[in-house]
Amino acid sequence: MLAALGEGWPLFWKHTSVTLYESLLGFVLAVVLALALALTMDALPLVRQALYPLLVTTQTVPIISVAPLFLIWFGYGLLPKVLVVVLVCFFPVAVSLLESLAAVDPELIDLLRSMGASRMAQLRLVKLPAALPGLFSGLKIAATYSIMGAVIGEWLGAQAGLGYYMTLSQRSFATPRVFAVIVIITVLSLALFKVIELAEYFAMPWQRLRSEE
Amino acid sequence: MVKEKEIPAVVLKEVSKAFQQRNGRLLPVLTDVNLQIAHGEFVTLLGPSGCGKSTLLRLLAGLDTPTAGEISVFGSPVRGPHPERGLVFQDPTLFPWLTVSQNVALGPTARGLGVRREEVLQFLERVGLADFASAFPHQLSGGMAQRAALARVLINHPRVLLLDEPFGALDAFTRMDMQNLLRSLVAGEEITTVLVTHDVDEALFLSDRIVVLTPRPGRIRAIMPVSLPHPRDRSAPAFLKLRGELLRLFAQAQEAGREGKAGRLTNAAG
Repeated sequence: MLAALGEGWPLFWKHTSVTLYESLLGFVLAVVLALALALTMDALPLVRQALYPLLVTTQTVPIISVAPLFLIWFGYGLLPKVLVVVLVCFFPVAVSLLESLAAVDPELIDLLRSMGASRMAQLRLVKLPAALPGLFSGLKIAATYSIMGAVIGEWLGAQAGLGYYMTLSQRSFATPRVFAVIVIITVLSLALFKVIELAEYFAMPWQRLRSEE
Repeated sequence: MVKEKEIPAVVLKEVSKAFQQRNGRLLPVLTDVNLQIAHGEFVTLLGPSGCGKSTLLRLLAGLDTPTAGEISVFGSPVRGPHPERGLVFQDPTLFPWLTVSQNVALGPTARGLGVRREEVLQFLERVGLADFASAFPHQLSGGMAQRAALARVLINHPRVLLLDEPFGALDAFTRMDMQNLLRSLVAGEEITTVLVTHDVDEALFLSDRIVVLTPRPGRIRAIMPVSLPHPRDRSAPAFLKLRGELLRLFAQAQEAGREGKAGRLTNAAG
């Protein structure tokens, strides 16, 4: 397997970079969308009540059955893969942020209100920082899903990427290459997870000090 | 022309509050509260748990609105929270992601105002926390955290201080320490203070007047003026005599609440 990895390295690298690009793009899009939606839903209870069931419903539709549709609608290019990534990453981020925004200690908000803070100031000074730990757990889940999402998208139809290369290798019974791809996928997912953990470490210095004690 | 000092700082007129229950019925929490608090006066709301004293404080803060009646502060009706009415909870409610000095600067920051470092330090010094300016809240003891909470409210220069059992979670010695500190912070300042507590000694040590409430729904049972000179000696005979009287009133209030026939207002405010 290592030999296969060593021999075909340029080829592996080419497919890895395609998958990584799709995953990161989808991940970033999903995070932006999830932040916007969660913040809107938190600010407007009516929107929250209307959209929450819908949000959950989107997650009950199996990705494997939707992805081929994306292929039909958007072709073999980048878009359908990114969409699959967005679809799998969006939910954990949105839900974790939404739940942690709702769980902020009401006394902290009362206190800020008593000091004459506007709703924007309340969001900036209490709700967002208090929701950070929850947001990061959502981001970590999404990070590990993102590579998998891109690979699934590629399985169903692509001209490049780890998923594409995997199916190709499977068809020619090149088992070592299949294993090599699996290892790459695992390493990539772990690396993304670590990047989020690092961001978390720097975003929440107060947590860091606590755990050092 | 009426001088500002002659207007009572706080006026509560027939204030009632009821909460909507799940079954749709209204649960009365406060009934017919009439009270006037003078400028610079220290008034304590004393009552067993469930007498609506914290609710009364939230109404004064403007965080809740009364079901009936009127509340005015310095002659104008209360319509929502305002920084001139500063609030301190039993829990220090410091923001864990901010340092102590950032916590103290919270009020001005929240209103989009700048705050000078020297000013923050000055308030930290007044509560004895100057050395902890850059510490995080979890590094503070309970008493220190509550000191920071006091500095955080005082930096807004409140004219009315609303304290909701601020020392209720502290041990006896720290509590006495904090009572002395609070006394030194508000004495000589033009601050009107409303303290909510169920600690009889705390009420006697700090207050100019003590309002005894009955539970369920909260009504004013009695108002006891305390004219002992400051600093008060917690073990002086005069203090202990008042303490006995207050405990008796407290017991009566609890009794009245238990029997469900709350006593009438026995003493007009003023």
